Amino acid sequence: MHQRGRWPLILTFLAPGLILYTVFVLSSFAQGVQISFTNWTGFTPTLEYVGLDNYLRLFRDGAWWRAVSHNAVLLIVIPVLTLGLAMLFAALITRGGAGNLRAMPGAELYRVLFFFPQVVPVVIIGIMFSYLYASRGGLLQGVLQMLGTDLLTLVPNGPLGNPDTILLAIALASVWSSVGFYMVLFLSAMGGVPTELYEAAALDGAGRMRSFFHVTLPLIWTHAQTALIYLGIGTLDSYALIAVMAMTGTAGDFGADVMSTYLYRTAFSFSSQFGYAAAMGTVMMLASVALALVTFRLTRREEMQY
Amino acid sequence: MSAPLGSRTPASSRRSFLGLAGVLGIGGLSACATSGAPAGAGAGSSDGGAGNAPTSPENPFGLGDGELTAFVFDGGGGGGVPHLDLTEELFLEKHPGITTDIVRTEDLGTLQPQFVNGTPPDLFQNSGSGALDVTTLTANDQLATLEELLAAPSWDDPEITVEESLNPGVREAGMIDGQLIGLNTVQYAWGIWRDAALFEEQGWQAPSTWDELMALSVQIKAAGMYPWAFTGMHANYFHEGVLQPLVAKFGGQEVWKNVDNLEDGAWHQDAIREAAEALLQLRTDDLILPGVAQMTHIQAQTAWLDHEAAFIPVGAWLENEMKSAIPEGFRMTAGALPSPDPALADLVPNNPGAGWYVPAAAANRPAAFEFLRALLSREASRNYAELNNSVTMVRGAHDDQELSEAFGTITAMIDRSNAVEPWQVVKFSSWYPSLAEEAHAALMALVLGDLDVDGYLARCQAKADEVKADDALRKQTR
Repeated sequence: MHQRGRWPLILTFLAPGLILYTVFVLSSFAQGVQISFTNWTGFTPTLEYVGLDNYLRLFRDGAWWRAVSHNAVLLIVIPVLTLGLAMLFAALITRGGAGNLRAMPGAELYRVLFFFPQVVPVVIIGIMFSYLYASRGGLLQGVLQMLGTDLLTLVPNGPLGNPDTILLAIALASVWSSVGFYMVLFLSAMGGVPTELYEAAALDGAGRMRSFFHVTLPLIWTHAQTALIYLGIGTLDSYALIAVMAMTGTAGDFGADVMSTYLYRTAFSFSSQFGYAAAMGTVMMLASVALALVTFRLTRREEMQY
Repeated sequence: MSAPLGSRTPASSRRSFLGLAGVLGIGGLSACATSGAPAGAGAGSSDGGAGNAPTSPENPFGLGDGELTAFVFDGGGGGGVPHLDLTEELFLEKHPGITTDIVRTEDLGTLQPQFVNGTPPDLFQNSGSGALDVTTLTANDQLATLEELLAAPSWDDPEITVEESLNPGVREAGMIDGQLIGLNTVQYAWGIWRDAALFEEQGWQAPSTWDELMALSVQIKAAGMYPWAFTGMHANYFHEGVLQPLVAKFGGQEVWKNVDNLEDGAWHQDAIREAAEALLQLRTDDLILPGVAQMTHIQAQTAWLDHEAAFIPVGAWLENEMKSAIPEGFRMTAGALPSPDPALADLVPNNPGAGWYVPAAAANRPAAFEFLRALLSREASRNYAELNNSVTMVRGAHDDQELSEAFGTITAMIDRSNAVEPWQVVKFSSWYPSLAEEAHAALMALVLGDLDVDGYLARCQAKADEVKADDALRKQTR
């Protein structure tokens, strides 16, 4: 095909997507950044610019830094637990790698079972875990009582009423909901690893542990990297679960208040400070980009060809 | 009222806004959230509606024909706000030339873009989690004052004004920024609820003084029950239902006025300290049902219905909310919070609520006013009480109305309280929501966590000082 003739074709295919993306994604981002330089209340058609005031205020806002610290905790706890468990389950189902020794009996069933929570909407998961943690008639309480102890003795005020435990209790709900998805992701990656490599490793005397760490893991590393970034950005948000389980961050003496919930309350409960909230949104956006770049940099390894 | 909207911001900022949009390369797309119609245009003057008629006592706002658009919060439950059907009927009977469009919605958030575009409805009832921030709307001059409505002849008796047909407190509750903006039609009184059948069976007397309460608490615990349950997730229940009246009973209602006005050291007033000490004792004497910290209002109310606790602070809507869960033989009874000062024993927080608002840019303001006038009629009020088991602000409308036993105890409780003195609504929670949020969290840490009285007072005062120093928050006084 002629070089010149290609462009109209490419543009025809690209244009609809680009236009939609620009209208519904880029323009909202741009507008959010624009609003962050104003004291807009969200009700008027006009804007009044206040320069960097919102950002300076944010820098001095104790409640904001408290929220940031909670996000930081989640950023460590959720990916470590989620990806660790997902990798473990994937490895167990395939016995350390797709190739050797093939799948265990019942692997298909586990695949479906573990993936199941992914199909349940986040809000339902939040409500479900709130009941699970309830001190009257909750599942956790029931199990503990069978063991002869009481939830409220172990955790005063309950997991969601105690500032020290509320964040972890919510993180566990998040881990439960997404482990299955990442397990399936890792399973499919493991399926792509050639069987010969495992046979060679086995001939060299490598057991299941060794072949997992020295064959499987390096070969599916790019998948793990993608999962880490995807999960990290989702964790930076964490809005839905905390909105449902922690009264948009206010429950448990703000023990689970994160950037997104604080942003929401700033815009919709605290005297309509949309400009200030937009500044928080902008910082969150920059944080997401920074997180992705840092993760890529920290996890960079030599690319394997197979 | 003339076009106040655009005047807040000089035209130059609009130009620079477009300029910035251009710089960002989105010139053609900058018309999303923030560039609606050019503001207000003074649509809602009182001759706004279509065909007008001359004013008369029967038709005080000179309503002719046209359309009435209203948005109403509908909390779900399949009710569809049924009491409005009768109001609509009454309204249409008098004004057959009007077409009404009353939108029932679970989320009023959809009204926000309508305000941005300068095309709000004629009327809205502001409740629910998506309720609009009427304080900011008032500051932006986007809501109309309701003086004309309250000065008009009442629906049932043209000899008296609408205001004279209402119980005290409607005006105070509707004041924002020194103007009468909201019309709060329902009495949300906070009671301390108990099961009268249980008290009879156990031979317990409902306490009226704080000492009696503490003495009874010992007996209640001896019977294997906790004295108190409440929701820790919605901390405002304990704040409004217990702390607010307790402070008022210790030191009078001016104490809260000082807090509302952000007076220096307001949280360190003696009455608040005494109330905090009394409430801390609930924790140290182990008088609160364990686990309430993570209970929602429904969970706490269910525990109370199951006799796990003797008292629960909830508003007048309790019976309606728990209708399907009330066990047989349970006799819901509302009473005032026991008082350290016997003279104030009957005082209860009684906040007019379920506010209605009329946008300044309403296309048909006379119709909105007339609809509210019909809503405040005797007939509509009694119908409301029948359907919702709660009391409206219309004076004497429910005097001879016999509904449930719980309803009777609420009306009696409100009457006794009004005989002591009218309750003055504590305003800081609506004026400074960030202060309210911190005060609620600190209160929960005091009664459920490990905060002491000094720590509690210091936390609240520190936040009040922060709010006071924050220029971005508009200050109000009462």
